Amino acid sequence: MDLAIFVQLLIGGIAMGIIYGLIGFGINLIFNATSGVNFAQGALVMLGAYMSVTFTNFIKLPLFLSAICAVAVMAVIGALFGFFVYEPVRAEKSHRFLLAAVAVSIFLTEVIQLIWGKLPYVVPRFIKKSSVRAGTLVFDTQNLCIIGVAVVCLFLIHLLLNKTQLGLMMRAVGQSKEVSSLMGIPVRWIVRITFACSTMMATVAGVVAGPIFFVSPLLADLSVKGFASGIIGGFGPRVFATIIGGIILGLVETFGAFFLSSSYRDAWGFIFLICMLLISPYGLVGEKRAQKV
Amino acid sequence: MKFKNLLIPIAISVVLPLVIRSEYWFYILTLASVFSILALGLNIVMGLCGQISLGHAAFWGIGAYTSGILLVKLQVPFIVALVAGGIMSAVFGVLLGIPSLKVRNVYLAITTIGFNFIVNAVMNNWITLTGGPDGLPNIPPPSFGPLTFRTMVGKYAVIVTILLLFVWGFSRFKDSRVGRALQAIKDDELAASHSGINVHYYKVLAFTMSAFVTGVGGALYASFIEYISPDTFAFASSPVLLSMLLVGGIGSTWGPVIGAFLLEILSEGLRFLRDYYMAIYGLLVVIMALRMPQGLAGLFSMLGEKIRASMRQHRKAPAGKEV
Repeated sequence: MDLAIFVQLLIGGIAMGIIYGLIGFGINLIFNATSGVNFAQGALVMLGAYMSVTFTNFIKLPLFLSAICAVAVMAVIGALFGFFVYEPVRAEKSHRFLLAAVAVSIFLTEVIQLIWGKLPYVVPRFIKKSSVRAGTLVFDTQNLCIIGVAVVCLFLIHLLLNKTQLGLMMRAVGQSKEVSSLMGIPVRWIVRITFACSTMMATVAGVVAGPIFFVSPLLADLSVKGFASGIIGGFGPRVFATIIGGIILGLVETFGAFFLSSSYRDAWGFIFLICMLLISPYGLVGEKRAQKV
Repeated sequence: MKFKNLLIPIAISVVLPLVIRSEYWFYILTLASVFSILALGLNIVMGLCGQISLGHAAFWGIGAYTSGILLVKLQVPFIVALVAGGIMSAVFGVLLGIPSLKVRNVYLAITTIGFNFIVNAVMNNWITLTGGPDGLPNIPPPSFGPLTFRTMVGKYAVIVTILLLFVWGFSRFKDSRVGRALQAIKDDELAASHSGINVHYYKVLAFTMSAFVTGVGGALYASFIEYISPDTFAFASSPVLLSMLLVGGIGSTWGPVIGAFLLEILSEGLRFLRDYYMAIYGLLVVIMALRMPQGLAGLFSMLGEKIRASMRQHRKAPAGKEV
């Protein structure tokens, strides 16, 4: 097989996988803090993408600035989501939050179509030039941008979680809410902030995916891939495992589509996922806690 | 449930054709009955056994395609296709039940979603069998021997009869030995297994039965609409089934029926709101999910309890005065 094709598929798969991974990352952040499963993450990804479209296409801000604005607005929305949807059911089984989140995602998908219409929006690419050459290799610039943006974001979130007081509190709440509150940590606020962070990651995923997929209600389907990457990586305190899971999923899909059959593209990832779950039910590094309801 | 408790629903479903004359509303009611059967199937695995499934649209589709293909390509009798749809779906239910032994919670939810995607991909791509994205047209309407139910009222009669049978069966099953074993697993798996319940066996059984009922619902859907295409059974439909169950009341006998009818009629009744109706519908589901975990069925039974209690007090009060 041609090396050039292989490298292109590799980069494409990794870029796609990083989008999945970013979505899964947000889901895992919330899972750690609340042991609740946020099925509305896809709707938040979609909302984030539409926000950035609003800033670029309607308010005419430059691309970078509008992405920042979208992330900021979505952080507030994420905290509100935590307040209105998670907090009323926080004392109950995680089951309840899952169902509420499914309902919210139906609601948000409809509201988005009401506000922005059903037609997909075309979003400008981050770099005008669509490809760069290096010898015989050709790289899609958008894929490179995705990888770059993701690395920066993950580095920032790594700093937040591991080098700041806030991150320490977030990790503490993830381990035990009771003990955290005894230590004087404002647990409810930390949970809201976690929701905000998770939604910010979702927005980043939505913004970088925009130029590839167009911004349409179909973006919500990405959340399923986000879950899959979370599961391949394993939910639990090792938050970066979901990114690895996402990259594996992206590669399986891309190579499966290329070598086996592209019409079964969605199916390859899930067949891989189910086979993997049968062998290792907690993902690569997942914690057993995830199994408790 | 005793048989007399079924008399009111039977009476309602017999009187309705006499009151409603519009073909269109019959279509809505019949569709709601089909959805009731689908939600009832989901109720077995989620309501009784407590296992999350977000892939039930796949079973719906397997039932519909099995029955549709048998009817169109092999011209088998309707009843054979109906049962075959259920059985084929049940076979896949066993397949999906096996991972449920190992994985739980989110992991199970995502496995069922994955199953939905895989099944949908096969429907879209196995064109010689399923007709691919164009779907499968010209499925004959329900028929028994020489009787063919071509009109909307006829289809309504067939589907409502089967729905009532299933509801009755479900209520009997819920309090049977097996039904209680499933509920014990839902409450606490560890405690159930320590009480001598074979958790593995019952979980697979729950998936199998749930898939069977949903598959029969799918077969009925195929013969009712007379045309099926893969879009109907995509992952997006699974949360719709779930929301019906949620609004009606998870785990209760009438919950899925109430939910399916309410949401189906509501989505028609709110049409005057044009584009806004789906958003309002969504908001309603959100409120139900957050505020009323027992759903409408829970609300009704609570109201019933209150009325009965106040009636009891009413009866006692005069007696107290005499003394």
